[in-house]
Amino acid sequence: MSMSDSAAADEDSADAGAARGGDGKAFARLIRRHEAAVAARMWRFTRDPGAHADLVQEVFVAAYQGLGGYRASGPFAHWLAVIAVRAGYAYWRARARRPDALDETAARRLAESPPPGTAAAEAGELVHRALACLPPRDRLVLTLLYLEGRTVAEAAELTGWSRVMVKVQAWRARAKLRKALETEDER
Amino acid sequence: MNDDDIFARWAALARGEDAPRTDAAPGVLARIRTAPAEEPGLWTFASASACAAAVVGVFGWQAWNALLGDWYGWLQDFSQWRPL
Repeated sequence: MSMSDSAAADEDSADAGAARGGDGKAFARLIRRHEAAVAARMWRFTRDPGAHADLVQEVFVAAYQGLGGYRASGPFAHWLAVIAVRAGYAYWRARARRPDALDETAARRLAESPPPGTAAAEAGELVHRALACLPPRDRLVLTLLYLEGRTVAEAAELTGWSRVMVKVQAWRARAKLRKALETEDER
Repeated sequence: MNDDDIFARWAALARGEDAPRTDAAPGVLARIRTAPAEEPGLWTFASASACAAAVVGVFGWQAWNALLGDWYGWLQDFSQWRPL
């Protein structure tokens, strides 16, 4: 851990302690330090700007309510990441009545490697639409492994699943995604 | 190259995307003022008291004493248990 990381961790720890005691300004400082990372993560759970802003707020409200369970022995960012992943998963589960269908154009584009010069936002939109075809559990594991580039061990920590569970879920999810892309491609 | 590799390339590219900027602090602080942090100890105590009151109300004091006695007896049995 670098000096700046260590100083940030100390600040997080102090502000978390103060916020637990009811100091709103300390919690506002925590929000400002971690908001960009939380916003980036929640953008993988929804592409609707209004829902995204609500989700970011929900993560911090849940964090405030769970501050009693935060142990300063671990990084605050990691503790917050677990809360964010759970909030995002709950958001998907609440809207999982009918997974979205992938349109033919998107499926055809995803069958080929991204052409040079493809914008990250365009790739993000396509990947999001493809993963939206899957049930929440499959979507979550592929979002963590593909979109966040997490290892199996990290995905296990974030979801609270075992490593074996993550591997099995990822294997099933990949098979479903492949099938969805092929089915759409064959139309 | 298989489908997974192609999808992984799209995902790696998408990783560089910028998320919309948010300003969560004012909204969060307003929400937590109206929904203060939970006190698990208080809720546990309140739930346990309500449960005890319900048992006493429905079955009477004897039932409650019998329930506690059974639990205490079971605890003693467990603490004195030794493998054969």
